[in-house]
Amino acid sequence: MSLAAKSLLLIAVLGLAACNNPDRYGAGGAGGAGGAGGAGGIDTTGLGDPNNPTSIAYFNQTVGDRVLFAVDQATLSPEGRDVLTRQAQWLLTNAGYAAIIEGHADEQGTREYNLNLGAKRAAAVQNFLISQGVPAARLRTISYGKERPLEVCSEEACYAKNRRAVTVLSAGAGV
Amino acid sequence: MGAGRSLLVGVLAAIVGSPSLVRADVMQPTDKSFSFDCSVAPLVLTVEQQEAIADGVGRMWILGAASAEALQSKITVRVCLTEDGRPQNLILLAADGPTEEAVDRLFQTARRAVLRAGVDGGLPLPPDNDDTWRVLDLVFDANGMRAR
Amino acid sequence: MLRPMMKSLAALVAVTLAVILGLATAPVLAQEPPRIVIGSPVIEPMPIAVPTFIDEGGAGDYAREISRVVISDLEGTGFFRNIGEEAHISKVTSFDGGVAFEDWKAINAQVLVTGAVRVAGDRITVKFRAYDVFNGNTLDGAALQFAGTTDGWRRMSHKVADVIYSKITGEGGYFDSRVVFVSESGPKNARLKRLAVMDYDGANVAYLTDSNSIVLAPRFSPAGDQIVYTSFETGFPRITLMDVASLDRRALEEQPGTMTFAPRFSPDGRTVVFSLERGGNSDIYLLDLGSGGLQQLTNSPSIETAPSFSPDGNQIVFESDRTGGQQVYVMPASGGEGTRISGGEGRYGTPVWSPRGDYIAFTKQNAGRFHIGVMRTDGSEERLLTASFLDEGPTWAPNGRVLMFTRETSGAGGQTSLWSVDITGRNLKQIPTDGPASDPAWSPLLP
Repeated sequence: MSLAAKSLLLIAVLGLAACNNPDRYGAGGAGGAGGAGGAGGIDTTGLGDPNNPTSIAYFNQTVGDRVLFAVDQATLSPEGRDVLTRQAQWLLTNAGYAAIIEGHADEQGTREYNLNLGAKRAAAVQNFLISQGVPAARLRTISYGKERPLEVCSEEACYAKNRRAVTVLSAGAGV
Repeated sequence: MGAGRSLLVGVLAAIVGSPSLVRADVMQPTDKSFSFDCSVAPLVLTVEQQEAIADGVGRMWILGAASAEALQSKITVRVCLTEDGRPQNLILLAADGPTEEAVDRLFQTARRAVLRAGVDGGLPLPPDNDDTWRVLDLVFDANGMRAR
Repeated sequence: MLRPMMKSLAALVAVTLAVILGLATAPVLAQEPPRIVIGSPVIEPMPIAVPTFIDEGGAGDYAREISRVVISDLEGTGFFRNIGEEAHISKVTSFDGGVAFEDWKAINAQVLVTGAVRVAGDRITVKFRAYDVFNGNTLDGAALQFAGTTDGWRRMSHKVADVIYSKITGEGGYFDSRVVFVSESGPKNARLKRLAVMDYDGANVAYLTDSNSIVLAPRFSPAGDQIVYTSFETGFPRITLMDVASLDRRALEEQPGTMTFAPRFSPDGRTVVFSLERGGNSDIYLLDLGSGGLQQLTNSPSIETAPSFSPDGNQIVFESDRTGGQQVYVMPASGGEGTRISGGEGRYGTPVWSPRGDYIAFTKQNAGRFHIGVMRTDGSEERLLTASFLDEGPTWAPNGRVLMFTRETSGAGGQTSLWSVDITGRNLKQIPTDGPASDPAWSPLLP
């Protein structure tokens, strides 16, 4: 098998996983193992050229795939709204993509409450994107609560980055 | 002792059913440690002497293994002592607690405390010329202790 | 030493009357005796003696190991201190022989436990007797025999200790119980989680799932044969039911676009109360496990979660952030608005009703610290039992006297561990586990 064929296979497997199971973190820690990217360790090989405005890489890096929240809040900040406005425009332009919005919380909170707080953050993003015209059928949400922090220190510098909602793209609308 | 014994029997007949007496002593019929002989003349103690007894018994009163409900209870026990301060008999006079079991557990802690205080040199009683048995009422307030 | 006294006729009469009439018998005095309020009690463990159980044939190491577990159970409560054998004056050489109480009084043992073990093939018999040393008799009901197979020796030890503990303290036993929890591994940002069960003291660990998906907050059924928990196995958080014996499991409620979490059984085991989140708003629902029928219990545009039934099944305590921060509410089991019971500063979550019905345990966050606490079911008498960077998720021992919870340390290397504490706040200690562990839930006392 050629290197190109292997790459294609890898992309196909990743794509399949994304379709069937949004839990990028679950499967034996494989999601975390790739861990170079801030977006939860998806290998950028599969994401296209970041200079190509229709690529996932472009969405993640240039449009911005995440918004941050204040402590114990799920209200969108003005900066967050700017990011989400760009996300909505991109999603409307690139109708072949669906998105799963992951909500996360920092570790300052009880487990089940934080699971719900993450869901509220994801829902806030989902609602904003829908209000901007993105079809609801292309959007799903999931919460990880405080289970998957991006940064591991126990200081506000880390907490601020962990209180996030990340829009994770996958190929194929209507997932 | 003979006179005291017959007097006590008479007294018993008189007080049976008294509403101020809450419940039975948990002493068992097979128990050989106690006798019911007890003086009819109570001790007269100064405040200092009372405090010495309170501290002496308190040091032996182990509540570390008491149930949560026992810790909400308060009991009064009547103790009969020999002239050298050794407890010979003790009964539950009054009780206030959430359940009978809780009161009983607290009574067990109180009984052990009094008996241990007796083993360790006796309760600090003043010298007595009457050569009689002595009687004390001891209040064990676990609830009050917890609140402190 | 107590002066040995002959039991007088009067004493016999007195005891007989007392037994028959159930009334105290005090001498009537011409003058009231001095009334002395006893000073501060000693809140220290009760000294007891548990000489190594006697080998009555074939017991080998079992006699010593069973004695060790009994002592470990009793001392582990913080209620008792075992007086080591080197301090014992007399040796117990025969289970049914007499006991020299004076020798045990002399070392201040308040309770003496003697035991004997016999093993034949794979059958083991354990018998024991607990004496009230200062009273010179057997503690009522504390002379029993357990028989079974040798692989159950630890459970028998726990049962022996449960009886002794219960007879002395008046609390129900809790040693013969299991704890389901989440076993953790891996770094903080990619932590692997799997369900596990262990004895209450950390022994006999068994794993129930692999680490392929996140699992959270397992709870036992009232019979201890099933577990409900939150699993990401389907990709989204779903409440999941597992049969402990077969490990068969199924997601209980699958509505697309929703998340279900925070499940807990009702006291009759027939329904599961949980949170269902839709569009960021969660409410509490009741699922009938037999019919699959779903009943919505709360209807509020805020986070309603962490429901827990009262032991009589009539009420549910839960947390809600409807007034801003998390607070604890109680509602009828049929649902409704609920009445707020938490009132202090800070946030109150994860309420759990005591199996005795008398207290509600909770997690409190205030001024950057986490606490495990208890309060009365009307919110009064709040008592914080712990304080740390992160304590959360209390679970009650079957006797309602002890709580176990998760403690997590701070920073990049932060790890979880299981701790227990008495409801008086004493006896805080870590439960030994192989690795990091979280989300403990106590089983009922085993049959």
